[in-house]
Amino acid sequence: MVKVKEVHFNYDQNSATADALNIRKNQTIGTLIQAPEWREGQPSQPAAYAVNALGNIVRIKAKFSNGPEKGTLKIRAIDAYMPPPEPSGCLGWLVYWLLLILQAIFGNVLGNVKEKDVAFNAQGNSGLEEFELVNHRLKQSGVGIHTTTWKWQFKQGNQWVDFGTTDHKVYLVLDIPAGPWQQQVMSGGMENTQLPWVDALEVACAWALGATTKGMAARKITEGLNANSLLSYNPITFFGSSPYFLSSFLGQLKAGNPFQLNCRDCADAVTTLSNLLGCDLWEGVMQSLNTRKILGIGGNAAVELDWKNWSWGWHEVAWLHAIGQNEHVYDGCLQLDMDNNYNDLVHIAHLPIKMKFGQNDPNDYRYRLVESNPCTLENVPRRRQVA
Amino acid sequence: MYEEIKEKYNFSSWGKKRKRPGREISILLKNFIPWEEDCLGWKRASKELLTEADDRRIIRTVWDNPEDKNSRVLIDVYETFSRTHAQECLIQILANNQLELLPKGPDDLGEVSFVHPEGIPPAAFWLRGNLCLSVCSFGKKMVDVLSWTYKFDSRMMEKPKVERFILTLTPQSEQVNVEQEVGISFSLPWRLGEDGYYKFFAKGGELFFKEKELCFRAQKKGEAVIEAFALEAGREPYGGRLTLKVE
Repeated sequence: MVKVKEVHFNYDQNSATADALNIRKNQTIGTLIQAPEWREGQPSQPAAYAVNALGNIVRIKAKFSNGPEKGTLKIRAIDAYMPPPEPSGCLGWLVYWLLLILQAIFGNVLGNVKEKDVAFNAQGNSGLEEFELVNHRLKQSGVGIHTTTWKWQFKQGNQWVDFGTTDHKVYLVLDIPAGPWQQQVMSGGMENTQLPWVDALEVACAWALGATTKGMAARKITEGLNANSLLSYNPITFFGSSPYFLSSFLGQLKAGNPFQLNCRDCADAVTTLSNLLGCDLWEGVMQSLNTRKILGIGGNAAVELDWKNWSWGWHEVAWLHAIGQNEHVYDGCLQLDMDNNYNDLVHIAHLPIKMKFGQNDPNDYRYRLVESNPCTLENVPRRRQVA
Repeated sequence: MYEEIKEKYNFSSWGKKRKRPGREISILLKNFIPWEEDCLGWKRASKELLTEADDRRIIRTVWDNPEDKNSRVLIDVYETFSRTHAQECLIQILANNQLELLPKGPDDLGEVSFVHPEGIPPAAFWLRGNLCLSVCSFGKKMVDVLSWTYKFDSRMMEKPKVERFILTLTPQSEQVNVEQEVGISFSLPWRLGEDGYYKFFAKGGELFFKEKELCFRAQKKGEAVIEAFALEAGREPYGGRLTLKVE
């Protein structure tokens, strides 16, 4: 019986218009993920697609063995997912709909593999054959993490005969990742550690699940960070000076124990994870400020003691496109008080998401953050390398 | 670099403190890491090696109170090539702290130390030899870290009692001149385990690393004595000793 030997998603390392992005597992040397992502008898490796970069046709490549010697077969792959049978009873329907929703959110986005004739040599092996994906949802699904099981079939007479299944995990991002992420596989003769990391995609895609625009993605990343119940504020930079110790941050998150971080760590996380999804954020610093009462990450808005004034030598946030008074910030590290009376105990917590930096307008970030001192903008946009 | 920060923290005075053993004896540590016995019996949750620059790396460990998951302490050991590098490192740590100004820490902690003010998660930062240490409350509950810092500092400073002197110290030259640098290779008959570390003391000069090589620069004529120790949790300490003639 014919066998699937290999399935390739990122078969062209110089382009992402019809195939997957160049990615790696993490910063560890030797964790580059290269096609074939699926190989018979080995664990399946994930692939990632940049939605906006994809053209109209998306292709994969596959190789087969045990085929007819010097013969041809018509081969295709279809989604192996079978919807559950229609249930009876309220609970049954609830479970049924829940399963359908989960399938829609996390299920197959690759669609099916369009049939084509595959030629086999005298040993029954095929070459690396290119296949077109049909009915895929890569361009409509937004940011996400999806799994697909394909059932591979060949045609015998008028019947399609199953001959194997392959499992695939796919990350969807909105665009080619921006800095610090890169797409060159090699850098200075070494593996490029700045290729998108699967460990980071796992977090970024989960936090920004379903985002269909870059603005929505950056918002969801900022919210995902600020609302994470493990995190609380400390003025020390734990992860983010030079380089950004993303692996350490992700390790702490994965361990699931509470930990702390400061504004630079937050700006790094928001910028790096948003840009992984294709956004255009930069880290940028403001110098010397005494804040109004703000709610640090991890604080409880209902607890007065959690609203604090700080005397900071600097503060760092993520900026959209550029740093400047008329530019917009994403600050995952704190919530501002939008209540106009700063002498009472009433606070209206507001997470700064695409908030104009501005000056003295009550809707400006600066106005709501700074009580005194100059708060001088340092116009040095940064995207710290990840390590 | 960091001139403003240096001024703010009175950097020029750091080497001018009262005379203490740390001033007279040069100390250098390699792979120093806190052991469980120094950490109130708390459990080590993670250990990471983070490389900031060619001349600096961080050994980061996080310790969890087994009875309270919200009580955690993070310890960063910044290992640099020399005392001078460690001073620069401490300036950068202070610069990377958002607070406008950190209060000075206790006089008897390291060569110079700084702490977080009250009311925020406790933290202490100090210098000892070529190391810069940062001990911080890292969980949701504030942990007083000062008692931890003294344990580490005294362990860095103490000379263990050694029965077996099998740590070999071999200088490039047995005779050196004042201000001359001499490379010293050191070796044990076996490789130290994951949590093992080396400690070097010298009288009459300064110890430092040049890349990975241990070096000594003599500062006065006479005899210069270099002592070395290899330490590993659960094993006896091993020592080595070298005397150099300084012309």
